Amino acid sequence: MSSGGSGSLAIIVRSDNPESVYPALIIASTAASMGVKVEVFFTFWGLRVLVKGGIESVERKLREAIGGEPRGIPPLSMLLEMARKSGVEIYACSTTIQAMGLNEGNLIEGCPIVGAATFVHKHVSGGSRILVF
Amino acid sequence: MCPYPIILLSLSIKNVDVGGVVEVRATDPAFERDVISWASETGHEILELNRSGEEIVALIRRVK
Repeated sequence: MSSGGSGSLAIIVRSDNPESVYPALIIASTAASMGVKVEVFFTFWGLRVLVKGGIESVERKLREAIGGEPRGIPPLSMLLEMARKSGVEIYACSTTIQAMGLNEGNLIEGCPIVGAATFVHKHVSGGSRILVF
Repeated sequence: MCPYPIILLSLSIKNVDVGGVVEVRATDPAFERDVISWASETGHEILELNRSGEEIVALIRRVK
């Protein structure tokens, strides 16, 4: 195992705009590959990324913004897969799930639903660095 | 393309024994600096780091 990196990083994604989602997952997967423990918490419009079909929607937005196929950036689906392979854990915000009238069945697989208390306990009390996108 | 080379390097190095070497060929222009940061953070050793044209080639030895 390549360990030696230190600390833990909590990333909050509250938007489903490409400029939020891509950097969040690029930083997440890179940090995990450097030995940092990483969790990404998707809340409010960010939760749309985890709803089935959401990844394709973000990819479409990026294509529209650029006016063609993006170059030099991996597809979001692959980025998410790489993040997970590198050990990044993905969480869905319970409040948002309720606010949007969703349930676990609406989400892509492997995204446990957690609330604010879990986040505070793990990261604020635990002393993680926190990034908000 | 960022962050591919670094992620694939970190996944690949887990598949070689300690002392084993992984070769990475990347066209991401940031890879040259990024791999130095990655090695510094993870403790693995850069044996070679060369640029030829647009390609950056790195040989990394798994240290632990």
